[in-house]
Amino acid sequence: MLAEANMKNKILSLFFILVTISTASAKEVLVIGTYDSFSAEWGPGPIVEAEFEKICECDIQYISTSQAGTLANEIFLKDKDVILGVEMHEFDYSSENWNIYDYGYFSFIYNSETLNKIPSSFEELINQEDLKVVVQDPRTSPVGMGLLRWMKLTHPNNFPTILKEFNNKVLTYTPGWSEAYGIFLEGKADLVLSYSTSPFYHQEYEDEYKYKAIEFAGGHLVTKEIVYVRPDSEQQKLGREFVEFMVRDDIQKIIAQMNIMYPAIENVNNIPDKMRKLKKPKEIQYDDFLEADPLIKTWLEVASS
Amino acid sequence: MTLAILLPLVGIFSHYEISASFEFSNYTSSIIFFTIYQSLLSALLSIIAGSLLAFLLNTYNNFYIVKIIAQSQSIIFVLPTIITVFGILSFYGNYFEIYGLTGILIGHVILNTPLVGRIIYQSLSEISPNEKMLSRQMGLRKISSFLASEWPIVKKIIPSLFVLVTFICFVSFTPVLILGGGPKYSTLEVSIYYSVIFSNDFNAALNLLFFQLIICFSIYFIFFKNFKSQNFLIDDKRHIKAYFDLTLLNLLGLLILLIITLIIFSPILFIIVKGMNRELFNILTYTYLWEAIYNTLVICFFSGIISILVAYNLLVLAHKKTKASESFIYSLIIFSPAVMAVGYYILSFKLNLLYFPNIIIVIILNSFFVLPFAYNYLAPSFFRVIKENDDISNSLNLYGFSRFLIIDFPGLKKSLITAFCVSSILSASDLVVISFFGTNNLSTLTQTIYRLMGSYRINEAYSVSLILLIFCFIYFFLAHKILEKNTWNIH
Repeated sequence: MLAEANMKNKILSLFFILVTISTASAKEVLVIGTYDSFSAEWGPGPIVEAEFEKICECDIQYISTSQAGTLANEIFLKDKDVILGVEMHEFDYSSENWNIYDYGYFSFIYNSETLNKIPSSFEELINQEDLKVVVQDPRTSPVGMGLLRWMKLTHPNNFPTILKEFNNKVLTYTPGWSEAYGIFLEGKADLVLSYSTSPFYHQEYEDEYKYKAIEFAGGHLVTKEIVYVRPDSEQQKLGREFVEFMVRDDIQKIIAQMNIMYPAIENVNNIPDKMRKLKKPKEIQYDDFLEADPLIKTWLEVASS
Repeated sequence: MTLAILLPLVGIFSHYEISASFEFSNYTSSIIFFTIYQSLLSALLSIIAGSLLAFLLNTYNNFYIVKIIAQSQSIIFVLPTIITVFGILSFYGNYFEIYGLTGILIGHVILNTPLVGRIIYQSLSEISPNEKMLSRQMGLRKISSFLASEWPIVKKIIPSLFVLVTFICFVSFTPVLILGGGPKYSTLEVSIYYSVIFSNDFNAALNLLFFQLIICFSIYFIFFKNFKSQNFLIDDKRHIKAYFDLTLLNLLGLLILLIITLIIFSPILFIIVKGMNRELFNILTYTYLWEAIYNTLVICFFSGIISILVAYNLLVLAHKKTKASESFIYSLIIFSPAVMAVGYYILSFKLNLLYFPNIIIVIILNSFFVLPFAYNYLAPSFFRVIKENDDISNSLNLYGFSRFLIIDFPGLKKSLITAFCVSSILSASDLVVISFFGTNNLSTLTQTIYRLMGSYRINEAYSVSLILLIFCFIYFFLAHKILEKNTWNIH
């Protein structure tokens, strides 16, 4: 009995020590919710953290998720001060303090050594024989959702028809970008839905030039990544500083270099050479964001029949 | 235990608005039918392949290589699904029209056969030598000997294994999405995930979850009612050399064993081939790798310990005729992992538990998630050992923990070690819990593989997969070596 009470005391004191350790640090803490390819050791996160901590006298903590979509899910955002990496279509603009820190164009990537005939529009793509495409499931991946928006915007009148024919070319819909890109790199598909900057990674880090992005004459959908301060965060001032910091020239350069996206505020200094040499596709212009649910509904009807 | 399941639901329910509308689109109903069909068929095929595998492994287990195969087959089950799926695409993608029902079935059979095989093998290897000798002395032919000694055991485990595998396939996510080839072949779990994570629609998610529960419990009751433990005796562990003659039947058996092994080990071959690339030696110098190995080891070890402790106690409860505890264990699988993790997340937020070290939350949640597996690995030996020892422990007046240590432990040791290893490694293969509760400083090998793939670094991802594979082998090997050697002399 005595031993048991003793044990309880030990556990309790251990618990309090842990709590004290986590609350006792003197510096202000800025908790940033982000996705884990940003915060990973090889991503831009660690450098961004080190640079910001030089000027802020604070401690940055990344809480990163690998589950796509969680950055737009209110539940996961509650205890964070800043959210970094939410896609512009998923952002509700309830915060006043936000910035776009990078952007890219959805595009199909191919291997120029194995694919000879390159489609230059959705129409050519669906009419080309023996073409195998791998894309992401719009229910689980923002990239897959991007494709639906892209097709709807370029084909407002015959969206279901074109989607149905496109679906015939699709080998499979993967849960996320990683699986799709992996299947493509394994040589199991001719085209993969990704970003027009994807070839930059292979050129810069692997010295590999065979992967190329397709340019569609009808234009491409732009995707922008947003960093914002959560309105109910207690670190408004620090958060605002961080949001501004993300578009500082040297940080923009790091983002472009390591996040493989175009810098939001681009100039000759902050865009890597090889990225500048890539051709930017034509951007489609539109006024209203398309809601996700109706598009998914159409997709389910078309693709599951 | 019940709390472990109910608490996250409390979290979710705090966001639930009661509405009686159960509106299912045509799509949802077709998915429900497909999910039932696909999971029952996958389970059936996995059970057939797994029993055959276990039987052959047990028949030829005096070959050293067969022993190694038997020990290491569980590893396939715990490799990251994405790697297994890539392996399947590489090996079979060129020969079959893989995307669709065929792909899903191939995937599920390859993923689950080792699980089934390992559990049945464990029970078969406990058949008394006397029994084997007896059937040989009686001159029973192979088939009658099988019917007399092996079949009763297999028959007894199959219902629970069938339910287990059906449930695993029922909530299958990545294999179904990738190998299914399109939303025509999907599972309810995908729709639940979408509702919870993307559209923040808890009502829809819970409605789907209720449906999932109703179906799964129906399956449970249909296939489970014959689950009665039978009595069969075991003697001292005298090993008798199974005799092996070069008969046509034996050669055929070995050939089939070779084929099944090659099929289920194909993802491992894939990792070995792909992992041996120029990144392999580079990544050994990166700190992220060693941090991930360290975290994986800690999570493995403690989740393994907790889950076998809980599983054992649940078995004791189940033995005392509390069948409810058994159905709770199975419900851990069918409660959608997405819903459970979100529920725990909401709850830990409400209770301010997020100040808790995340690794503790990850360990605790994982040890709950792997309970059904720990339970299944332990159950066959447990019921046998307990039955045998009931009389003796009653006469010696030994109960509770002292009974476990003195009477039951020696007979259970092997299964306990296996259950410990598998639930350890299975915790390490988790991706859902870690991605909700993991932080930058807390990532596991499995999560690192996904992170690398998410940053174009596929070759590094393959190398880390190979390291994870080696990690699993060493973990299994050391656990068996250390724990089996340690002959707790308590008598």
